[in-house]
Amino acid sequence: MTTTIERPVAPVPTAVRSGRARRRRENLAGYAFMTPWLLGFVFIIGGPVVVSLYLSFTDYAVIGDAEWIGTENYVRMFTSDPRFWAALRVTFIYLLVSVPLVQVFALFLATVLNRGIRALPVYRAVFYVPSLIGGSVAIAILWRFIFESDGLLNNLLSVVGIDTSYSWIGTPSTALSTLIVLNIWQFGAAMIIYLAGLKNIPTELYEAAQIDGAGAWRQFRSITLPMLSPVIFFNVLMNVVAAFQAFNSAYVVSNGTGGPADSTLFYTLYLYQRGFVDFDMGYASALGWVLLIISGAVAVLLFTLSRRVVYYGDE
Amino acid sequence: MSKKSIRMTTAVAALAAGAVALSACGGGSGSSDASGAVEGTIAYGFWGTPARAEKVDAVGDLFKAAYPEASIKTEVADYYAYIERLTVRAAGNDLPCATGTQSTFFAQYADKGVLRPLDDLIESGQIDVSGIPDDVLEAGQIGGEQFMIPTGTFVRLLAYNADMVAEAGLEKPNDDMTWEDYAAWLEQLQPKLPAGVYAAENEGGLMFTFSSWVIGHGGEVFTEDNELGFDKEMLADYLQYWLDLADAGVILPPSSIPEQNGALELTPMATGAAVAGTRDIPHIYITEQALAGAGKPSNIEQVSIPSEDEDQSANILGSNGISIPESCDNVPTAGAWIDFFANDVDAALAFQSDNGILTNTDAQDALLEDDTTPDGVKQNVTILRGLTEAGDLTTSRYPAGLNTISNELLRLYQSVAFGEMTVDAAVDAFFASAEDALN
Repeated sequence: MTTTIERPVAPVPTAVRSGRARRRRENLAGYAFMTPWLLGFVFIIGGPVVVSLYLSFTDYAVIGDAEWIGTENYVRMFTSDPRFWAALRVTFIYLLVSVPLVQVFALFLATVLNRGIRALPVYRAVFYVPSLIGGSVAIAILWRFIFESDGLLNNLLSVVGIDTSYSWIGTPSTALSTLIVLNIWQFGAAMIIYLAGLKNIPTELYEAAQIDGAGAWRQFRSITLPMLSPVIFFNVLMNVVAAFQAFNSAYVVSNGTGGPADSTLFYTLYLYQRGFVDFDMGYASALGWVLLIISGAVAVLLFTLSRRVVYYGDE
Repeated sequence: MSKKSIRMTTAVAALAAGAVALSACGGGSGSSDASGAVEGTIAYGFWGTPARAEKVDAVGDLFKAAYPEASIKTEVADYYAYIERLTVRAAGNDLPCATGTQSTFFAQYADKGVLRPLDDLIESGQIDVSGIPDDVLEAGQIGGEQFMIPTGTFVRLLAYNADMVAEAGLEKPNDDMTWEDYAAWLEQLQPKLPAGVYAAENEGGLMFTFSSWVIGHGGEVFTEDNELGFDKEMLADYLQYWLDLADAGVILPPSSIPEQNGALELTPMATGAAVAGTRDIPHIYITEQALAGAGKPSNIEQVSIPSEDEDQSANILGSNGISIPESCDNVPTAGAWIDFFANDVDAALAFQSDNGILTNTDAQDALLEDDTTPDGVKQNVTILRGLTEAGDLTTSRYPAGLNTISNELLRLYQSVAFGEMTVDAAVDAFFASAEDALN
């Protein structure tokens, strides 16, 4: 004969119950506050991203139904669309030329401003203003007026005896250069970040180097650059992402054509043309996904390189 | 049923009720049937400036006075933004009941069943088209069905600065020129012009000029089956013609094309940097005003676009108009609005031909007789009437894909002009792109 001894269930302490209830209420409140963001993410970002992946495998002209065509858009892009390659070439030239030059200008001026000159806030503001307005349509229009055949640049050249009616934006060999100059002109944001980074480098390092007889260049190479390398990496990454997304300037300067002769055909501009001018939204979606993959690969490459060249103080 | 499922059911019911209520709000009180009362509010979407919007509002007020139970809500956008939005809205069945359309782009919407044929409204007399010339009305038809009622029209002509030609001591161009005659005239004119001024603008990449070239050579730009109506040789000859003119230095260099394709007031003709170029009729007065404002010789005159056959006009007529989408739920009011906009004389005087020359001949008469009509509008009406009376007009089909094809022509012409491509390669590339776009 067995005897079962029933153990009384230990009552949950009131304090624990009220703790769980409070946590649940807090979680609910948290989700309630997050709801606008969650809705925005699902319907404005996440949903369209998923839909665009589906559309990239379809023939979709916006009006009417999307017709499934498998990988045809991707095959066409890589095998029989010279403009896709032209757009890639223009975007990479823009990126490879303008991103390093922005860093050089920004770091140079940040170093100069970091020497404790008077009216520093004024200079900082003056150099920063182009970053605030440089990406605007108004500035892109202004850029047209500067670089067209009877524009400001040619008028200035005529003052120094060089009479020319050369159209800088109308000639394929120079049109992209004007957009690169426009991007470099917006170095202020990077400069402010470099300035903050420079302020964080301990002055004792420079004092010790001076005692050891290191000159200015040696100090810059052996102290400033390594100590600033996380900031440089951040700025390069942000500028690379922005270069992949560049659109406004090319759209305005070329009247939306990417011309002359595709010389300013940024990838995003080509994507826009295919989607909203040609209404070939399936192909445009495929272009978008290829851009995402390319920019993601470049970001991975940068992070991989950063392990070798970026110095973090805690390593 | 547990408390939880009761709450869930209540929430779903509330959402459903809300959705029903919202959809009821958006439904309007009209009818998709053409017969019915003219009542309720409909939207009229169009492109243009705020100044044009004010004029449309004035017409809307007159409409309201004529039909007290009905009213118009206007929606305006810049031309390119309007076109973009139109497609997206069409995809969502959200086009305004009265949708502004143009002969250059309405076909793609009509072909895909977005627009409603208006023939039943015309037959029932709800839209009166008796005051619109037949060849103008045709610009809104596809396959014999009327999808757009043309309310404003424009014709491309060859414009030139008569003052500058007189200063150069050269004869004016005439209506009977061939393209070779035109080139010869430009070559005579160029040496007599001041430095930095060109005899003509560079139109090697312009689809409308190419269309005139094709029609003037006896061809058609697009067939009824939405295919290219010309051969490769025709395009090669056209590109070579403009390349030769550029080499001869009598037209603006290719590097000036971005400036030429900008705002009308800043084009080379309007700034005195070129003597001749093709222009829509309404552009002629604007060009004169820009030149006069800059204190430059400003008398612009116009002749027919060159043609190889004197019996074949190359002056292509285009139209702006109004269409009704299939999704419209208040067709009677939309029809009444189109009829009012196209035919009412007071509306014509209020709108003042702000978007193409009014197509209704009675409205044109009223504009000519009214003292408050601006000089430019009177000039435009007079030019159009002269062309209409002389029968010196032609029309062209504009299939879906026209934008793509136009951009391709410009891109490829520039590629050839800058030596990055041969003419033959450009022609092959154009045909490949165009056939892709048309399909």
